[in-house]
Amino acid sequence: MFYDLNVPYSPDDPEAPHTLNFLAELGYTTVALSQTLTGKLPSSVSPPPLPPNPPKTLQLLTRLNLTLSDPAQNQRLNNLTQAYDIVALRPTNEKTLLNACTNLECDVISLDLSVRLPFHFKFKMLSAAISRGIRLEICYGPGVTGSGLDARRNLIGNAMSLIRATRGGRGIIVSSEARRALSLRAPWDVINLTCVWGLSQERGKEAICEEARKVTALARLKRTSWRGIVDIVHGGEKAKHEKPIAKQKGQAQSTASTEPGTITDTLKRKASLGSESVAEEAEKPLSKREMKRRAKKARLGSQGEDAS
Amino acid sequence: MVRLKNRYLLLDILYPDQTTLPSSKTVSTEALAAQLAIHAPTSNALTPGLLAKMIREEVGEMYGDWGVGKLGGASATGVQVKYLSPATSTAIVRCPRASFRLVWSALTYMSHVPAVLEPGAGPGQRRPNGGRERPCVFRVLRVSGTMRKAEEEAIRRARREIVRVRGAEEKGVLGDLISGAESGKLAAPVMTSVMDGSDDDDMLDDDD
Repeated sequence: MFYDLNVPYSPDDPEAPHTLNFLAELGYTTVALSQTLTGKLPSSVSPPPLPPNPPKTLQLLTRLNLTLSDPAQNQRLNNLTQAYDIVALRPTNEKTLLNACTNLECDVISLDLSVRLPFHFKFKMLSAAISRGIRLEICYGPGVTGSGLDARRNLIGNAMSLIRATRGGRGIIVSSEARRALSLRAPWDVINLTCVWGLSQERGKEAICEEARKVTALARLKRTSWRGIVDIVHGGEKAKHEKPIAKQKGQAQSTASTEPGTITDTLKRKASLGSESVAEEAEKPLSKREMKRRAKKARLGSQGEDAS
Repeated sequence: MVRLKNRYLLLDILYPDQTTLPSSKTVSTEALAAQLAIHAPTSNALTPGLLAKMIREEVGEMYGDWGVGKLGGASATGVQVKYLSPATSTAIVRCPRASFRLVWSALTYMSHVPAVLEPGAGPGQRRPNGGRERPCVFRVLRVSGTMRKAEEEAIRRARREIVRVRGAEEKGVLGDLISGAESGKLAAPVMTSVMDGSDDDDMLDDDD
């Protein structure tokens, strides 16, 4: 059960199937293929198509890396979370890091640790993110091969200060960000590397297994369920036959009519994929509240026309 | 009794880059071809002495004088290559217990071995730094307190790999006749159980 949640990927890359084969050979089981966006977002964003025949042992996810340089940027994060399995933010300065830790809706904060960062990590800031269920990511790829001495040194220094700031490495995940198959490493080698950086072995293993699993599980829960609390695991096929009967009962008893009202209420707050079919059914019987509201809206509309 | 305690690292060398195999045999399926390419044999230019020297140099580069000193002084006698098989790209390296993580992380940072020389090239290029290097990944399979355990693990893994390749080949030749019965069972669990519990068992029990 080893996870690598950051493998840069584009569909026209000839080495992509190759990299996936090598990942499977190294023993990874879940891999997130990431796409990186910087600056202003295009109007519609969708993940690139997955490679045609991946190795059977590998489970593939899609991931978006979004570089944040301006705090006023990116109001449409909610749209993005529906399109991708994991959304990661990459802040470049302290303001955006603070914003990402405290406000923005994302799954992972992935700092570029191979450059010199112009600020220090503060425990308060990072613990705010961790308590919201957001994990911090260390990408070992740029430090292992190819990016030169400075990248390696910066990566080690930044990783150590990140571990220090999270008090022993709580809520840290480790992934590769390997542009080529050559800078991938086997899971146990990565765990040893984190040991050298200052994590304990248990935490190092958690960083690549448990914490990464939590990221994927939480991300899925955020997307499919209602506020991350209630999720429909099994629809219950039998219930479909009983539904028309229940509805007739509901019309007979006036108390039951509040039920569709609550469902529309939840829909307003969180658009969830699973409950849209329920929403269509809920249109038919109008509750008293809804009728009143519509009447009021119509009245207001007519007044507005009179005024103009 | 005072005794010097060691760790034995069992490692193998993987080749993620698609290069032409030294013996280009036609293989049936794509997955099998990829697997064989990753586990390709190493060049004979990699001798035990050269591997030990590469490790020492890498430790020297990563950890400086302190690291080399921890391996046993200027000549770094603490690191010894006990076993090296170029055909299967497997090696066993002995290092002091106090600094096995240094050696391990140095291995992680290493990314080249001498290239396979073409038959016509002659024995002129023995040194790997002559510009012909082959990119590779070192993977540590097991950390063990005794050499016997490392050896057993090496044999177990080699056997497993053979079974895996055999299973895939039989499927390719006989088609669907036996694939439903056997290959599904053989192919999957091999990878899942690779690293499980491999380290911690032998971390503590030394050979005393």
